[in-house]
Amino acid sequence: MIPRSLHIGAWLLVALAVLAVAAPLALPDPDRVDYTAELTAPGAAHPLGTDQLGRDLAARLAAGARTTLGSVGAVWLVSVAVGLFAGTLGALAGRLGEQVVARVVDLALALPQTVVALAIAGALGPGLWQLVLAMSATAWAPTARLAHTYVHAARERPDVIAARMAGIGPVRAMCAHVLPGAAARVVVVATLGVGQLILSLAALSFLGLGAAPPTAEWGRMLADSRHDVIAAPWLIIVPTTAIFLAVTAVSLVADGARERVDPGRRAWPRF
Amino acid sequence: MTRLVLRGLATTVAILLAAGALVWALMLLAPVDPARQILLSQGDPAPTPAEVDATRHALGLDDGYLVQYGRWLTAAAHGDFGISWRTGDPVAAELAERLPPTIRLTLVALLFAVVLAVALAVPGVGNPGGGTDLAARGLVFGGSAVPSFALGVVLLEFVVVGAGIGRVVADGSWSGALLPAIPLAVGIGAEWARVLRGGLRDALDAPHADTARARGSGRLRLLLLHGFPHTAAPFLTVAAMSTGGLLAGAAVIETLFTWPGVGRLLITSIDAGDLPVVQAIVLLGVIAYLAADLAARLLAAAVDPRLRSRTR
Amino acid sequence: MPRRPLTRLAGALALLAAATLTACSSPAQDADAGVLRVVTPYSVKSLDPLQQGLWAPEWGYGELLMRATESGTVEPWLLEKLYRATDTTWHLTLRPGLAFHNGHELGAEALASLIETNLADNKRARSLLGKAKASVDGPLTVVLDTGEPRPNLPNLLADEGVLPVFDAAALAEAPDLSDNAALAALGIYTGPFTVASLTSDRLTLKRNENYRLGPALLTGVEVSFVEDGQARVLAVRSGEADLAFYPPSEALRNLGDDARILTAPANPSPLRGFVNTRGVLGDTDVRKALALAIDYRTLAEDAMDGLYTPPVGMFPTSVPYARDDLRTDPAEAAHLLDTAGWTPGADGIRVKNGRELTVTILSYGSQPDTAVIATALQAQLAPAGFAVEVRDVPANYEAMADPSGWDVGMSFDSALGTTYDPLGRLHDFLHTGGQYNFGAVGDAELDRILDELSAAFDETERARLLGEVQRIAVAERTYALFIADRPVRVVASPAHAGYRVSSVLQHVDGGTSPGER
Repeated sequence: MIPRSLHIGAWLLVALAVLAVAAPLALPDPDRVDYTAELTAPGAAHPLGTDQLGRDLAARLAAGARTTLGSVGAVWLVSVAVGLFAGTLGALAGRLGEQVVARVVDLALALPQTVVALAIAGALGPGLWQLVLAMSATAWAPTARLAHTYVHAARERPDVIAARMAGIGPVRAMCAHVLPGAAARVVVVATLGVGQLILSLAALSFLGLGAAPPTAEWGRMLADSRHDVIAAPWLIIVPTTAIFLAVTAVSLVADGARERVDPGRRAWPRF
Repeated sequence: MTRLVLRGLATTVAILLAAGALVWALMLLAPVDPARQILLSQGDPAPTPAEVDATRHALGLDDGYLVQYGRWLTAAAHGDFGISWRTGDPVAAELAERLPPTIRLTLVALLFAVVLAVALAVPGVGNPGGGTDLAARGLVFGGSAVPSFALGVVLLEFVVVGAGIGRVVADGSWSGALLPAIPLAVGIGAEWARVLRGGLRDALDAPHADTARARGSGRLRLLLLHGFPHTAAPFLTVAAMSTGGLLAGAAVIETLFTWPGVGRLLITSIDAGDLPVVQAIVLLGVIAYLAADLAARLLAAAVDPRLRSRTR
Repeated sequence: MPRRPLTRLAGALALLAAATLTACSSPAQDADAGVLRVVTPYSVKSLDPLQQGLWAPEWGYGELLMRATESGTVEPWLLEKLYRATDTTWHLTLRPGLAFHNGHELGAEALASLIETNLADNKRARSLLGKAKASVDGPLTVVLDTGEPRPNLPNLLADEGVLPVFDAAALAEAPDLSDNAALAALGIYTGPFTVASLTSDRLTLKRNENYRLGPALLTGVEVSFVEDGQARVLAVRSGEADLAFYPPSEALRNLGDDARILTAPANPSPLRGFVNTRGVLGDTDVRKALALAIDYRTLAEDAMDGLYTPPVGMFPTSVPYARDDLRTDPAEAAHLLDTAGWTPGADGIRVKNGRELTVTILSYGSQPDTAVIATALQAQLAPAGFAVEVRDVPANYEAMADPSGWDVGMSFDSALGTTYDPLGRLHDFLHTGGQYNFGAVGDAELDRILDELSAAFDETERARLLGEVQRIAVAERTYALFIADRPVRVVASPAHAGYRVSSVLQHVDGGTSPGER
């Protein structure tokens, strides 16, 4: 059961990545407007059909995979890096430092993610970088909390105490004995949140807070599709399927990884 | 228990104060000049620098940041979030008008989500890996991976316009909440089902469940006495987060269904650069989140005695 | 192990939920057949005539002294006659027997008093007619001294925001102008409908049984405020509304047969391109080349699917002084660019002194069509050697107030407005000192003509000057682009396919038909 979900998820992700990277070689320019081919149904010339401006939907889907998955990847990196840094810093920095970090994490966890992201994205104005920033603002908190708890608990672990007693400095002991375990868990927790990230990101750009118009983005493509649900159902089916597959793939990988890192516990609360 | 409540309240207030500072600081983030923005949103398409300066001075926007923050915080503590830049009405009044529909939508969505979570989690739990279980898990996966707005678009097109059930221009009533609650409930329900299923399986695999089973307890009895209480803590945590999120406004679904709630107000205000309203809604979201979290922790402690002695 | 009960429980719960849903979601209730149900994005925020008076003539619960017609003129409405004695004195004679909804007489006294109230407290009246004075001259006549020559007074009186007509004496006694119910009860307006109620979502109007031209055909009007354009169109398709105003173009492309697109016969709203003369478009030849390189027909018919029409010039053909100035001529555009020293580079983009011919076009959020048109322009202008960058901004006026960062700023701005008054807008947009002269147009000859126009009363003289303005600003020096025309449109339910769309913002009147059911 465990390796299977991990496998399926990983292969799906690889397939999406290949689509995103290799598509420009085989598909037309995603921004090329062709008024003679507006809302063409999927067929030989356009495997997934075209949109309201006659742009190739397959090409836009692939371009959208780059923007969507790229920005989600950026948020993921931020949450792993900041989370790990804040978590270990808090656990290493002595009592006062620990308290400060713990409270800041508490605060970040208490902020409703979507609302804060909306507000920041709104204040910064539309754009991909603004969106990544807005989503990152709170995304690091769960990973930081986890890293903090793990590192804190690890200080009492026999192997760590033994290492410290053997005269190994706190930083080296941390790097050698604690960090790998912490990093694995942080990566898993961050990945568990990625499905939600993809959905939130799509929602934000559905509301027009994402990349500026010509840029292909899955949520934006969905927003544009709502005028033609009946006339051109592929417009809504294609990006929805893409989002669905991406979220499913990431969830499968995350679930599989969680079982590997921390077997037995099923009810990991997602932060 | 009293200590727990007091402790929880103290943390909540401290977080609220800090969150207040962050929310207020949103204003510094905005690339627009608030004074100019006010004039623009009041219908003056090209305000002169002199007008902008006068407005800035009149609103005290040329005071130091600390002074401004202090003023905002004092007023906010009294429930006064200033005047909307877009409409010129008090923000508190606008929120008071939008909150009841959002609460209605939230409650209906939560109800649906509970039904969905139980319906997806319980049937398969007795026979993990069986057909029912696999089907339910598939549905859970699917439910949490479908974007709610795609579901909403389809519902609008086929159910409302096609079949004539429900309304496009929602009036914010209980019956109007049924349709928009569906796309909201799907994602949340799937999430809850996952937690519920995991918790139930842990509980039913535990030795005390085996004992009970050996004594001849029925399946329903096992679930009610051993399964659900055991799952309460993680389930309530997740439930609190969804509730808090919903109360702050399900922005996308409310916009899609033109629901007259807080979420749509948030989007309208963001579009118009109406910062006082945005600040108030974010603060409201924090309060809703904290309140739901506190309630969940107390409830969990009431159900699960182990949590009463544990401190965070 | 008994497995069934639980499975059944879950199934039952799901069924229950589904049943509640179908039971409680009532289908859109059938409204009273005589009531017109309308959805519009713009909300009437209050009934205070000094702040929100403009909505009254739009929705039929108020009238103006003059009104614009579909044929490009203004005519007396509440007035019987408007007569100019000198350059600054006008005689306003009311129709006999006029009354407000509350029954009070609308005579010369009431007119003079409402003019005074507007001049004191209505920002727009004060800025346009600040020096005016009104005095009573007989039971139905008021003499208005404008203080300075105002050749466009007839147009100003037809403007919904300048002189709303209301019972100033009754308003003065209202304790709280923000109390909508109290204001509705005062009956301060005139017109075929009276206000029954106003909330933040809806304006409800009832027929005025005592209307001077007899009771309206409709028994009432319900105006709902819905910001989302797609939702407005869906509301008509689902039968919740009869008419959807300001439908977004993208919702019209594939409208099914459960709704009809109705188009106003005249006065489309023009998409204007403000030109920034500070940058690369400071060169007249480059500006002219740009205007010649745009394929107006393709833009309207292909890019916008025929939802737009190609413009002919600065003014719509319905006005007598309109000149046909726009054409597409890539060869001449190329020639002009050659003369100006811009030579084709390697990738087709023209280059001068090592700099590429880059033009930044602004599209803006509240009009999503502008983004589509900008994308189309990008494709059209590339063969002519222009590299077009598209910038989507939240607010176009704000972005254009910045001297840099744009070359062409798109904006739906009519040179005429809905009162066919060319004066105000021309001065605002093209005079060196104009309020909205975003592109820093500074042309002494144009300024002189515009100043002359502001004081010209004679029709032929005005027509001549307006021709001169078009010759300079469009044909010869291209200080503004006219990109596409969007006819005023309404989406109607099949029963209301006979609704007449107004291009001059008079959506409902006594003759508006209740539709066929």
